[in-house]
Amino acid sequence: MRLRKPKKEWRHRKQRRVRITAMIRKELDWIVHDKISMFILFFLPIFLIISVGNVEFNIDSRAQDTVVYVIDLDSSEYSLDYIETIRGENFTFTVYDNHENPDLVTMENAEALIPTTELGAYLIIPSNFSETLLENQTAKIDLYIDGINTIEMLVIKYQFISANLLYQVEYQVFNSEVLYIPEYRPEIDRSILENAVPNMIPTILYAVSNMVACQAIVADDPLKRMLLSPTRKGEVIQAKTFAYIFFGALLSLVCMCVLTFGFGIYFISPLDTFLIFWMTTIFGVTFGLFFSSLASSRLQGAQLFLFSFIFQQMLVNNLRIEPIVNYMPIEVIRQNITDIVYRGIPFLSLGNQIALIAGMNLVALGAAWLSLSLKKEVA
Amino acid sequence: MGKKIRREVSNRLNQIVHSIKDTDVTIESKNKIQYSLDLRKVYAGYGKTTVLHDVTLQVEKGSIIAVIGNSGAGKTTGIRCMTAQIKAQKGSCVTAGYDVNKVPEEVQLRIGYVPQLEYLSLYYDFSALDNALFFGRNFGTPDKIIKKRCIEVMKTLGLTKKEFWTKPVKKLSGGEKKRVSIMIGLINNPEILFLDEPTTGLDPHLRIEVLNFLARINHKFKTTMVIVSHDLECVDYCNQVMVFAQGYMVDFGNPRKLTRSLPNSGKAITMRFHNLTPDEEQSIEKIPEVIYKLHVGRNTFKIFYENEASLSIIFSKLQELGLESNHYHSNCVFLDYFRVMSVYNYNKIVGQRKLEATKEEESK
Ligand SMILES: Nc1ncnc2c1ncn2[C@@H]1O[C@H](COP(=O)(O)OP(=O)(O)OP(=O)(O)O)[C@@H](O)[C@H]1O
Ligand SMILES: [Mg+2]
Repeated sequence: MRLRKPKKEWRHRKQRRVRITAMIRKELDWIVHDKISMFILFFLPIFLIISVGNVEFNIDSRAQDTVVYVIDLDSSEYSLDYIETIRGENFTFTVYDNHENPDLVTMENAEALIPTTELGAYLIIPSNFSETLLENQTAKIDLYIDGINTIEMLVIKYQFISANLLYQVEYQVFNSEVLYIPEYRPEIDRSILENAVPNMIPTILYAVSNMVACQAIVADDPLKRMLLSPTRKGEVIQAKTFAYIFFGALLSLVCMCVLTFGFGIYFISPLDTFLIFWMTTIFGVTFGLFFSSLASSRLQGAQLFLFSFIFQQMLVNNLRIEPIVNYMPIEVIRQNITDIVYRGIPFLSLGNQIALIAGMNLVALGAAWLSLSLKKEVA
Repeated sequence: MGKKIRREVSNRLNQIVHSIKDTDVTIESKNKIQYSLDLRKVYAGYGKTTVLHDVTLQVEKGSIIAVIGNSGAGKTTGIRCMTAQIKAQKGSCVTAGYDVNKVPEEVQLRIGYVPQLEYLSLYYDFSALDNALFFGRNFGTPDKIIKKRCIEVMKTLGLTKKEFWTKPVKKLSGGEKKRVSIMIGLINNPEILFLDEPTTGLDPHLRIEVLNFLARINHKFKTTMVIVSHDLECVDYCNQVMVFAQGYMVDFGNPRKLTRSLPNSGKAITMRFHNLTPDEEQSIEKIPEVIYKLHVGRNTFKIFYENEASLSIIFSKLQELGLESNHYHSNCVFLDYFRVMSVYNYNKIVGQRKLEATKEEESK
């Protein structure tokens, strides 16, 4: 009698369920106890929503005090009309020209003041301005903008582009210039927060859930000991996924409540909005668990989060290399969130996209399980 | 006061019970004994490297085993194989009646493991009771039973006040944490408890204390215990010791019996010389009647001899050499045995085993 007969009771479905439930409970307790995780998970997104929602700043207020010097070398009807245009109430310029203030508005003064805060921009209307326009050729105005404050610089630039267009329309001056006007359609007076939601929510929800989930396995030191019970690694992944996804749902709900009740943002279908928010956190969780199972220290977990996040941001915002960019979680969400949140397209009608989302999450979880299984140090 | 005495008495009793057990393992009952550990020609290691070679041993239920050996000897590897953390590369390793290679889960259900570092094996922000629940539920045990068992074990381990169970573990002292870790190892009521260096890093008083608690647990729950340790104090509490050297098990047996197997049943003489040059030291060694010579202090040696006759020859030879000494007779403890064997014997045994292994391979 050397060997006993295996009872195999640890394999029964009921036993397995008991273990997974136990792990989920442990995980929930653990996350709630981990104040930093809770802080990252809940405080950060809500803080961001509140601060963007309350902020007064908008493009116009930034440029309120922009002083502009106009050195008109043409002094024709056309150039005077142009000066009138930029003086108009559409723009936030305080315009001084060399006709009214010949002592103040000189080339020397303008050049000297442009690096200071006293002068935002100056422009020189060339002497052949009217001539060129009459010949239907492109008239060139030399525009110099204070480049030290980048945001202000952009604001001024865009205002001048609008001014050009306005001038051409108002005074029936058409030429081959290509013009660009920043424009919001269909509702021009959406709040900054409303405008931010489609970009900010995927980014921040993904980021926080990913950041927290990146520590889920690697920071769970006693897990090694736990795996000495009949608990299997696959069960660990399942339990952790459930627990973190639960918090993702909670987070999505809280964010929606803050957006709706705090800032009156109207979601056409709250359920579909919730689903896409939640999907975003699920992405963060599954990819986070994968990174966490890959990492061999807490620091490495954080590094993987940071690296993947920056990589995604670069692809999504700048490089946009096809087709990789279409498989970036943030991009996948971003492509769909506006339609769901503001156009009321049902979540389920996304069809192929849902399959893609589910597939990506499953792949991430599979990868997490695989890398945890291959990891020798854990048990 | 009364408690202390009772504790003392129970420990004494425990020891006596054990010493009786060692001496009378009757042959007739041997067939019925279900071994807690049963290793036959086990090889184990990591990947393709083999660390542990050809280990064969049987451990009876309810005994306390010490696993000793130098750093890197393969103690932890042995424990990891027996606890189904790594597979046996060759041979069969049966723990608690189940083969670790075939049904590791069955093994894990029936063993407890106390790792060396508590801070990597407990949830520090949680209380001992919460930890017990976290770990115990993984074995499919109902909460009620876990709580009951946790409190029972904690009390046996001397943590009787309620605050010890309910305070976050991080607020406990080192020795208390260690005991919580031992409690977690016992949460599934294991047949065998493996402890990796449970006394390392504790102060001398606490080391003995922890060993006393372990003896008490062993007595109360009849748990077989396997203790890996660098502190030979634990040998005192054990029925058997396993000695590992360079990946081979070079010694296995009852520590008291092993100590008695030294020349003259472990009675030796300790000599302190007034002055000793290296040459003179060598000449002592060369006296044929000196079987083993063990350095135990400055110019101080423990000298092992066959019998009284050889002792008087040793004395006269020392006189011839003009070496004067203070001396006293002493009974050896296991530490002496271990040191003698480490110096004189274990390397030889390893050499022999290696030779045998190569021969066997050649014959194949
Ligand atoms: N994970 C591992 N992978 C490869 N080799 C290992 C691994 N762990 C240990 N070893 C090697 O196996 C040998 C035995 O190591 P082991 O940890 O069993 O020693 P030990 O007797 O427990 O020593 P100590 O008393 O220092 O803990 C050592 O030579 C070590 O280098
Ligand atoms: Mg070790």
